[in-house]
Amino acid sequence: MTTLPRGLFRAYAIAISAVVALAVLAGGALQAFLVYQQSIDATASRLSAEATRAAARIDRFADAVAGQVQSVVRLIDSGHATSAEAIRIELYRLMKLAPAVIDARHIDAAGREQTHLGRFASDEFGSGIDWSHDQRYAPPRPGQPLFGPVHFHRGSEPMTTLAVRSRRGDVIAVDLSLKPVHAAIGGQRIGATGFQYIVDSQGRLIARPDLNRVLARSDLSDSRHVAAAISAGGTPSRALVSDIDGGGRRTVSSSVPLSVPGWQLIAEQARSEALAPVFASLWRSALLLVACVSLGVGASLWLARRAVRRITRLRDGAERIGSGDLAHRIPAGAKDELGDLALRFNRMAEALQTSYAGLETQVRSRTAELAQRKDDAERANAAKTRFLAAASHDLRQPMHTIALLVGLLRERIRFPEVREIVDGIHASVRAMEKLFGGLLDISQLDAGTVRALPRAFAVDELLRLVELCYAPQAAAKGLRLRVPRSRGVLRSDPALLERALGNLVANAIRYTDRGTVLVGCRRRGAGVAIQVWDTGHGIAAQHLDQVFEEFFQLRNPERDRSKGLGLGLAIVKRSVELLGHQLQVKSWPGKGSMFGVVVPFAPEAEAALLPAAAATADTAAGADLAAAFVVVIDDEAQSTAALARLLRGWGAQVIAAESERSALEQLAEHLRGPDLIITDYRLREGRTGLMAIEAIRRAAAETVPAIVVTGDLSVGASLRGLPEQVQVMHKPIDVQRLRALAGELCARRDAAVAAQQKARELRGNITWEGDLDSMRTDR
Amino acid sequence: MSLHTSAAASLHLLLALASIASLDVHAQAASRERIVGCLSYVTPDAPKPCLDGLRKGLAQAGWVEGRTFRFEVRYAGGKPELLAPRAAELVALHPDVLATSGLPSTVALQQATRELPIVVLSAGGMQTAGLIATLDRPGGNVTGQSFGVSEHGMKTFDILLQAFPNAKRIGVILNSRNPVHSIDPAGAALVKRQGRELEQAWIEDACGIDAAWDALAARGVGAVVINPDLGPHMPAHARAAIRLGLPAISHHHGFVENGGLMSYGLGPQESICRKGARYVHEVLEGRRPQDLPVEEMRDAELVINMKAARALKVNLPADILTRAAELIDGPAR
Repeated sequence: MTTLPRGLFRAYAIAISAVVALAVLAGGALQAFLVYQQSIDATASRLSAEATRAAARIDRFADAVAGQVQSVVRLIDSGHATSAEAIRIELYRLMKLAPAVIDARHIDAAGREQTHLGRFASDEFGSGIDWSHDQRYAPPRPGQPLFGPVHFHRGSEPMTTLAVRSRRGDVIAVDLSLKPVHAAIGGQRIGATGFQYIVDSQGRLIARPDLNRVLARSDLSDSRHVAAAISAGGTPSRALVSDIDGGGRRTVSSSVPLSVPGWQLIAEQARSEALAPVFASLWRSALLLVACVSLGVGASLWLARRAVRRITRLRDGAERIGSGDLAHRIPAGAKDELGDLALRFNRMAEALQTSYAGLETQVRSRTAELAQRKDDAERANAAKTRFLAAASHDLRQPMHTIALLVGLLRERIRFPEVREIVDGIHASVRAMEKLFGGLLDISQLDAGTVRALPRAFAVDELLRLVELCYAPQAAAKGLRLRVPRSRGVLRSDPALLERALGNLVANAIRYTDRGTVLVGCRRRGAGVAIQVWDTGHGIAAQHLDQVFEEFFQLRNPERDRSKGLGLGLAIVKRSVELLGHQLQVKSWPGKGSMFGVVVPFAPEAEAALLPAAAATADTAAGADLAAAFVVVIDDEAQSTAALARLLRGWGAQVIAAESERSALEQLAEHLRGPDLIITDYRLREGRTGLMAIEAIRRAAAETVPAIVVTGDLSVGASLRGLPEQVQVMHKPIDVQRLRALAGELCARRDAAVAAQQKARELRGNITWEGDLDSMRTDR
Repeated sequence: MSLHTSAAASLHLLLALASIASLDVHAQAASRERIVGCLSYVTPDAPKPCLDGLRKGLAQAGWVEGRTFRFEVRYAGGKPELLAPRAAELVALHPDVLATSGLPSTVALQQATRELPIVVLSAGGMQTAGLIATLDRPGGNVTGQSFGVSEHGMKTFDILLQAFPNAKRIGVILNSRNPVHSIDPAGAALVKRQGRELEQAWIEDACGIDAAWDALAARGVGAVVINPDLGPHMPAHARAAIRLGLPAISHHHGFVENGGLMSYGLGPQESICRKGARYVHEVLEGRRPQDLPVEEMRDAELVINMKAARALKVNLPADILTRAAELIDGPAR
């Protein structure tokens, strides 16, 4: 079973999965990006919030001190404290209320110090020190607190100045310890790694987180955090600034400006810690993404499988129906397009089924019809053939008689003019014989009534016969017929084979104008190729097959019937086929042709059974029938008489009998045994020629050579093993041939008798028969 | 699917790392009971405001006495010579941190150990005594709160002189055992500038307080400045001052609490030690003393005991009274 195409599922699965995955990934990526942004903002806000909280406290502190100083100034302005003493009192109060104030000064409008109260320094009253050039103690505008630069007391404690001018010009200035600022940011820790610190507008550290050694130096102007904070100015920075701190750690910061101008509170935290929630959420998003993608892929795979499964079922069902199972019905599944498709497939299958059934019945009836007609035709044909076959004998008989009589006539006629007429009749009769014979032979062969009966035989016998028969014809045309001697015992039906060979030789002679016709044997594998070579016209390559067809003749367009019907080779072909032999044909147009029959050797055992008499026979052409005693049996009187006359003409002594009985009776009257028996195959009262031969042989107590004449080609086959020394001749007989054969047989017999005689002489066994023989041989 | 597993594993790893990163150090530290070793100068039954303050401060920081920590206190009983052996005892206990106040105790502890962290809750002159390198980077194993002796030294003179403009002689009580004790030059200069005289009297830690006071009284001082000294000495000083009817000023709050007239300096010992508890907290949390900068206490408040003022029959100027941050009536106890 061929594998059905697959791939729909995979295509669907890949397509849907890709789409789902892309969608989820895109969405996820976008979300992740947004989340990241949000988280960054959140972190910045958080840091900012921390900073703001601390900033608020610091602002409160700064504002408080500033407020206190301002309230003193307000008292001055309002006139409640005008004298230096009064102001001093206020300053005492100030120092009590504001522990961060380390020194408090009252500087008059001319810039001269009037009072200096120190928390640690000694108090000075009316020192008159000139502070007018000190920027710190010279605020430009009344009422506005001026914060001075930050300096570090004893290198560690940040301090600054705060000065407020009254409207009348006095300045109240305090030296402020910024330790409370420390406290505000010191204890605050942001997470585990975060801290806060304050820088001034120059980037110098004002306050650092307590107990934290991270900020070892005080000038942080090169820190990006500080730079960003300073550049942000008076607004809190919303962005998250990143930098690498002194320890190599990456930190992020957010800054908030303090109420003291120029001061920035910076909240700094290790980036990993600050962004930990960001990373966590990103990781969560990524995991969720992966989960969604795999879920989506899984879902799409499942969906694709579902869809494809139904389609596959449809496909498989269609395939089954297509490969012949018309009874198969596809399950519809759901009531949707696929289900409808399945239903339609099923309907189609049903329609196919019905039409197939219809077709089948039609075909069956037609076939029956045709078979019937064929039977009729065959029967008719067979009938015709049988008729022809059956009639073959009846048809041949008159021909045979005519031929004999005409032959006889020819021999008797002396007058040339009559002889000419008779010659003409003879020629026509011969032609008719041949033609008719050819037709009947063919029809018999076709009818299949002829059966080959293979037996072992000496090939040379066959060749002698052929030579005898056709030598005259060849001589008449001026051709040389050469038939070299051959040894060998073959296995075939000699009668059929002789017929075929005869046809081939006749053809060769007919189509050769000058030169030679050679009939020879060639060893070929496990047998012998009996080949007929001629130096004739040859056959063109394209006609080589056609020549074997019935009625096909080369160079007979006018259909001259004297050149035969064109059946010769057809008969050869059928005969050879029947014999099961191979037919050879080669031709060289203008040079000649070769026709051959490949006949297998007879097995050793069979060959040994053949009598060896043939080898010693004298095969000279021109047989001598003189003084031969011949018995002729034929139930047709005409035929018998004619044949008898022929034979007598040749010098033979003839007994003509119409039946076996008659022949035996007549023989009994003679002293002499017969030399040759010529009998028709079909005799009266259901007797056959073979029976007659047997009877005569019995009576003569010897194996008399015999010729059986028959109109049936099937004779040879119907007899299981021709008795020895029995030759078959078919009607219509060729008279020359008959003469040759008869002569041959007699000569052989003479030779055989001579041999027997010699043998007997040798044995010293002289019998009565031997006397007869010697009589005969003396002649 | 292996991809999922590895993603989950990575996530787990990341989360674990994150949690470790944000792990509270406190949680790590709070696995066993810590020992806070305290070296006390006084006797066990004497008031121990510093220890009280420390206890309060640690409680505020979240330490539970008896559960997450415990005190191990050794008392020198007012005898300076016992400081060293008591210190050694404490060190032998392998406490997590040693706490004390006052320079002598601190010196004794540092001589007993250079490895164990020592927190000084209140002491002056540590840098001069070589206990710390700088305030910013103490180095060594000592940290804590310090007060600037030089800074505090002068102002007491200033205020006393302002309060008693008529006192021609000013007495100063010095502790010969105190390695940094000397008359503050600025203070002396101030006295001289105002044309007054300076009389010195020496004590040897707790001994000779009365004798010193008597000596000064014999010399006819009008007011006395008690050089910054150990808090445990203050009650004796106060008694002597009251006995002799001499107005005096100290930097110690304890002086005024115990009946002395004035103090200008740090607040009550308890609040100081409570603030100092954060150092102990930090050390228990795992910070190293050398990483903790020493805080210099710069509180300076004027505290006047009105009962003493009445007893001494002194009229303090309005300025001084205005200046006083705290007016207390009678001894604290």
